[in-house]
Amino acid sequence: MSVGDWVSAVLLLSGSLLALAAGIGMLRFPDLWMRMHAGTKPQVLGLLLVLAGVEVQLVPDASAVVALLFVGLFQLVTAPVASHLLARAGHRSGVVPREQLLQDDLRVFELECAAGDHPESSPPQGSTPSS
Amino acid sequence: MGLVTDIALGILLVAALLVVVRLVKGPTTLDRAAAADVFVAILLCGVAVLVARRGSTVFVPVLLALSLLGFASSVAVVRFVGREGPTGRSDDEVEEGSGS
Repeated sequence: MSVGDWVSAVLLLSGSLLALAAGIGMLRFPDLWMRMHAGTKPQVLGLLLVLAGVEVQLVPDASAVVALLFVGLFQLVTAPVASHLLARAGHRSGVVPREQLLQDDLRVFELECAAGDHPESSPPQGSTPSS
Repeated sequence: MGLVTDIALGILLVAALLVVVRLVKGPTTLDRAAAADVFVAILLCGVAVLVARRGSTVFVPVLLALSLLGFASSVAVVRFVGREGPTGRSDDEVEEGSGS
């Protein structure tokens, strides 16, 4: 095996192990947000490591390397958006236990909306809970 | 190199099976949506390892399509579940809607 093969092997195996850690975390963690915390690993870092390992293998083929770079870029852009929506839906639908949260800014925002402080649902600007 | 990709594919298979267990068990629709998102990510890793194993770039467009499909599907499910506004929370409706 050449040096490139060794680098590629390390990257592929570390990305796969991150995916395995996510699988264990998805199964063992108790609520939605903790599972999302575990699930983020293969979504971003694991996939980027595996793609880097594949790119080391395919390096003479420039078009394939560019396509794989785009895959990593799309994942970097879309994974935070999807996670944000998922976490907010979990908060709103009461799936996660809110009592254990130390800081709950989204709840503060909801209370302010209910009190009529944000008629057009503008984001809160350094305000404190009113009730 | 074949041995390394075999090991990586085996690890990814075990991870995907664990995620599928959560996909089946998941008490709420949101848990299933999170599990499906992670499953698509693991599938992406698996297809990428397959590209490295075969040394051919036939499956690279599949990677591009899957990465966008996973995002669209998870956003669609989440928008369907959490449809109510910031002030109009209704837990019972959400729970009933998630059962089917």
